[in-house]
This record gives sequence, structure tokens and C-alpha cells, in this order.
Amino acid sequence: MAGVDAETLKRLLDANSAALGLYARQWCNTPEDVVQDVFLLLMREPAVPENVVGWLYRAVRNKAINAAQASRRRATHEAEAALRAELWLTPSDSDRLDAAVAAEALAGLPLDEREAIVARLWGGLSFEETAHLIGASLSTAYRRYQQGIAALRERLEGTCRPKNSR
Amino acid sequence: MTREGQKLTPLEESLASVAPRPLDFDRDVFFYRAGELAARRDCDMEQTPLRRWGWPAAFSAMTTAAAILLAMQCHRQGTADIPDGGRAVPESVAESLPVRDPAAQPESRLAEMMEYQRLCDAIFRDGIDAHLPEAVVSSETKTDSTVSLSSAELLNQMLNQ
Repeated sequence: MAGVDAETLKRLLDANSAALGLYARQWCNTPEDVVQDVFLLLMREPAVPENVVGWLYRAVRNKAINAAQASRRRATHEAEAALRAELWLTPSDSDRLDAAVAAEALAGLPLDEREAIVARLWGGLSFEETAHLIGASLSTAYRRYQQGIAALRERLEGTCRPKNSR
Repeated sequence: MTREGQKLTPLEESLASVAPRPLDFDRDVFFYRAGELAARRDCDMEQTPLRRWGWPAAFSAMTTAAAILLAMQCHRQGTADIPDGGRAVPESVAESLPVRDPAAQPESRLAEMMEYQRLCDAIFRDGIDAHLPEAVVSSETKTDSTVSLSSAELLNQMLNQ
């Protein structure tokens, strides 16, 4: 079995780097370094992991947590998260949801709920993959996700416009 | 949209429609480093196990052999020399052997060597006939003159006396 080739790397990078960066931002404020390191780590692997996207998220999670611990910012990270939230999402053309408001609402969630939502909504991971990623059972992953979505629904009520409202 | 194909609620769809902010890093530098790592990885993978482990294995084997030889050498220096190549000496013979004082042995050995050197010098200077022991001379006169001893035998005889 061969390692990752250039074409696969480019495809993975284009498809996942932004979501991985958002995922890394849940712990640290150096997502660029973390994501780059993880992709370089992938290049060193002698064979492509079976579930390469899940592998990327797991590696990003570990590296982001290590980065946060190394810089000793984790204790104050929760408080700082809201301040940096404007960097998380890009305003979309659909104008269905204000990116800044969504990012702020997301930043206000507990870390475990936020993590599950980012992994599933933007990372496209299944509940099984999310559970494996966060090291919890399937029911726990599902519960965290639903609790987070419920909290977001409360916070974003009135700001979210239906699809065909324009 | 998630890969499970489950229908997302409008809120989830709205959230998913907002794209994460792209990462700001130099892609050229990144791909250069990735290519470097891929080349190194491929190079490592091409190495056969013999090429990869041959030198370390040889180094380990030689180091071990050197350590064993060193230990054996130290052990040999620590033990006394065994006479007769290590063969057991019968007790009757061992009792009859003269017991030398180890402390006096170097001096007596030195004295023997000096005596031997003096005798050699005298023989070379005066000739062997001048230093024949009386016993040898008398035996020579008593026995037939055809019985003669070689120089080495004579020297040994003298030293034994």
C-alpha cells in the first residue's frame, strides 16, 4: 500500500482544510500550524489511513489540544473564544444566517457540544465517526450534538431565515 | 449535509451553509514541504530490511563480541596461571614439589638469570673446557672417550648442578 500522493493531498486539503481549521480553533488559536502539521504527518504515513477524514480530525484534535496546553492558554481559552469567534466563519452568499451571529452563538456553547457540532456539520462526519473522534459512546455524541443544536436554536431564533424567504 | 444522508433541519442547513473561514497559509511552502516528506518516505520504503538493519545489526554484533572478549581478558588476568596447561597434578607429586615463597620468587629468579648470564659470559670468554664440572671431567676420564656430550647437554648439566 502506498502513501498519500500529491493529487490526493491537494484534494483532501481543498475539501477539509477550512473545516479542520474551524475544528482546531475550538482549542487553539494557531489552526494554520496545526492543520499544516497534520497534513505533513499524513504525508509521512507509509499507507493512506482507512478513514482518512476521520484520521485527519483525530490528529487535528490531538495536535490542537497539545498546542493549547503548550501555550498555557487553555485555562483562559473559553473566555477568549467569544472574542475570536469572528474568525471562525465566512459570510455566505445565501444570506440565510449571519456568519458573525452564528459564530458568536457557536462560541457560547460548551466545548464538547461545539466539538460535536463542528465535526458533524462542517466536517461531515457521521455520528459513529464523531463518537470515535471524541472518545465517547454513540449516544453521548448524539446527545451532545442535539443539546448543542437546541442551544443554538434558542440563541439564533429570529435570525435564521428560511431558505426561500429572499 | 452530512455523509449519513440524514435530513438536516433548517437550522442545521443554515449553519452548514456558512462556510468556515479558509486557513491562511502559504500553499507553495506547504506543498514543497509535503513533497520533501513524501520523497523521504518513499526512499525509506524502498530500503530493504537488510539495508535498513544490516549496519545496526553488524555494529551490535561487533560491539557484543568486543565486550565479551574484553570481559574474558579481564577474567584471565584475574586468575593465576595453572601449571601443565591446566592438567591436574597428583597429590603425591604436588607434595614433593618444592614450595616457593611467592614473595621471594622474583629475587631468586633474578639471581638465577644473573648467574646464568655470568656463566655464559665466562664460557664464551674462556671456552667450554675451562668450565667443565669436575664430575663431568672425572666421568669423561673414567668412561670411554667416544662418549661425548654436546655443548647444550653440558650446559644443561652445569645448570642443573
